[in-house]
Order: sequence, then structure tokens, then C-alpha cells
Amino acid sequence: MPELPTELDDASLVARARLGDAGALRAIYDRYRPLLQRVASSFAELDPDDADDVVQESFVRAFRNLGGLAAPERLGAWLVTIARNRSLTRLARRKARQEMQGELSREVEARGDEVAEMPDPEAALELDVVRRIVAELPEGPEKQTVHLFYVEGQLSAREIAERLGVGKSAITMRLERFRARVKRRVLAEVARLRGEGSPGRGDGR
Amino acid sequence: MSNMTHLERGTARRLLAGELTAEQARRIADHLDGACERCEALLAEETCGLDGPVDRALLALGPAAGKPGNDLEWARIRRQLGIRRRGWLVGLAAAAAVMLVAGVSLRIFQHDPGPWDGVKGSAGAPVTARLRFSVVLPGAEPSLARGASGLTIPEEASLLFRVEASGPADLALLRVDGGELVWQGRATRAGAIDVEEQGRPAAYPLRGLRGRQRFALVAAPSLGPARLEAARAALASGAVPEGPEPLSLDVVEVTVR
Ligand SMILES: [Zn+2]
Repeated sequence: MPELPTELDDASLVARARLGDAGALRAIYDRYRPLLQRVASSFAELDPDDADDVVQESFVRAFRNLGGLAAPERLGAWLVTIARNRSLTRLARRKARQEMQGELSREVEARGDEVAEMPDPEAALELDVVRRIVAELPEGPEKQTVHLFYVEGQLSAREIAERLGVGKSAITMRLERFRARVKRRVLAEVARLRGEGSPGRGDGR
Repeated sequence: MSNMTHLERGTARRLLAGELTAEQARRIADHLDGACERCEALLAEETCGLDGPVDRALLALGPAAGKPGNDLEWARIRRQLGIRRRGWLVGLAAAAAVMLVAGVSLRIFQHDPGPWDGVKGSAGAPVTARLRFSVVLPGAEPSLARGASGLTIPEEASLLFRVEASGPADLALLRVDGGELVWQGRATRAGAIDVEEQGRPAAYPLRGLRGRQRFALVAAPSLGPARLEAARAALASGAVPEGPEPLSLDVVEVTVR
């Protein structure tokens, strides 16, 4: 008797799915659907139907390219990246006139190698950094937004805009700016680790 | 901050790929320790390997409150995948074979009771559906051979399926051993239906498959995604699908060499 797909880890699910096992595909879908929907709902300009479309597109795209996923154990991060790219693409199409378009429409196809394979001890590093940054956030609109979206995790960015009486794009901007800061700090930590352990180390902290 | 070297496009990617020296990595670390808006702007728009892990970490801060999956959406995803994933031979590729079939009597879609050792669970089912097939042999002049359960078939060949239903029914054709949903359709009345994709007759390619292949036709007046998935799982584990009412089940088996 094969194990139930729902009990398998990501790498095993990917292996099965690549063989055409529809049950494994479904298990991947069930496991990550809520996460992908949250990714799409961090863009306040997308309405709930858009978000559903993004989710659906993301899975179709991912399943078609499953063969190219270099690190199956990082399936979740890969799917999330695809969902983000699909959201940005949709947003860019909508905002034809704005100068934002140049930036957002630069769609990067999510390939397998787009998810960094971070060897230990870097693997859980981003979790650490994220917690620290959230704890350090000064009181203000950014903290409020980040808490509502990520920590409480119940409202979409669009709903947060309504609740706070702020424009939709302002909420998206706050979340994106915060996210960029997290990315910078994580990258700094990764760079720090990569810079360690070799001779000639100067005044590094 | 002594170091003013900003990130350039691709720097993050190269760092993650281990293409930078330790010295370069340290310089980046020093620079990014300061709040550099320019670098943040670049990171905001440039996708690198950190995007997925960072989003996952952020979303792990709270409950995973996104809407869970549902059968309707899954069926849509499956439909989109089903068309291309197994690469049905549609249109031109199948045209020659399909022309051969047109007007040919049903006898070419022979169905013999095959060596399937499971139960063909049509007893008591409100509708019954039979699965018939013929074999398309490729070549300058594609030819058709009568399909019969138990045949050994070269992998260059493809299969044309035909369904005969006793009445209105949802139909699903599954490849038992891969757990693959090959085709879904509906019979609106009693009669024969050729398996089609994109509104055109389609041939199912065997390329890439090896050994015993069992194709199961599952039919019921209404066959939702949940019930279908239960049937698929049951068949894949060698069991007979069960449900609130008996399903019609017909299985053919071929060996691919
Ligand atoms: Zn900079």
C-alpha cells in the first residue's frame, strides 16, 4: 500500500507528481493553496477574484514546470515565488499608464534555480531575521499594516486598506517596502556567513 | 559606513550561487547592514532566490489563513493541465486515424473481458458505461488495429477511446497505475462518445509508458471531483471504488513494450 500523499514530504510529493501521479499534485495543491492565496492577497489592487486567478495560474504554471525544479524540498518557496510573479504580472497589466509598470512588468520566470538552496546553517536564517525585524518595528502605520497582514494574518491587503481608510496602493507599498527591508537584512546575513571562515578577514563584525 | 558599493543587478543572485569571494561577500554584508534605500529598491524589483524563502518566513509569522483548496478550482487546474501534460494527439496528428474510424463499425472498438482481476463494479449502478478502444499504429499511413484487452502494443502507438453509456452520465477515464486522470466528459444521453480534446477526436499516446497499463472508465449520473479523486485513489491502490451509490466501472488492460 502506498502512503497517503498527504503524509509525504515535499520532495517525495514532487517525485510522485513528476511521474504523473494526480494524487500527489492534488496534495501539493491542498498543502500550498492557502499560502499562495495569502501571497496574492498582499497586493491590495487585486480583488478576491484576481487572487483566485493568480492561485490557479500559479499551480498550472508550476505543475507544467515541475521537471525544472532543482530543489524539490524547497517546493513551497518556489510556489510562493511563482505566485508573487503572477501577481506582479497581473498588476502590471492593469497599471499600463503608471511608471510603476516598468518595474513590475519585468517578469522573471520562476525557474527551479530561482529558489536559493541554502545549506545549513543558513536554512532557517530568514525566519530568524523576520522575527527580529518585526519585533524592532517602531510604532506607526507600517507596523500596523505589517501586524494586520502578517502577524494576525486574517485580512487581505485590500481589506486592510478599507479598515484603515487608506488607499489601496498605500497598503501595497507599505508591505512591499517592509518586504524589501527584510530581503536586504536576510541578504546581509547570508553575505556575512559567506564572508566568514576565510583568511584575511578584516574588521568584519 | 565606509563602504558605498551598492548592489548591482544580479549581485544577489551571484552571492547566493556562491560565485563571489569571501571578501566581496563581506563588503556586501557591511554595506547592507546600513539602511540603504537604493539597494532596497533594487531588491524590491529584482527576483532572486531569496524571494520565496522570505515570503514563506513572513507568512509563517501568522496563521495560514488563506482560503483552502476546493474541488471546483482543482478541476479547473486539472483541465488546464490535462490538455497538455500527456500531450494528446489532437487534430492533424490524429486526423488520419480518426478518418479511418469514421464510418467504421463499432466492432473495431472491440472490448473483450480482459485479465483485469479487480471487480468491474457495474452491478446496481444507475448507469453503466463501457470502455472500448482501438490502436493507432503510426507510419506514413497510420493504421488502425482492433483494441482488445490483454494486447501487447508498441509504445509508438496511441489509443483511441470510445465510451458507450446507457444514459446521461459523468465520465472519467483514468490510467490506473499512474493515477492519472486521462479524460473527463459527459454523456448527455445513451449512446457512444469518442474521447475528444478541445472538441476534436484525440489519440492517447503511449510513449513513455512501459509494461502493464490499465485504463478504467468510471461513470455515474454525477461524478464530482471529490468522488472522482476517491475513485482514483481506490483504483491506484487496487481497490474497487465505493460511494454513496454504485459507480459504473469498466477496465481495459494493455501491455506497452
Ligand atoms: Zn546600497
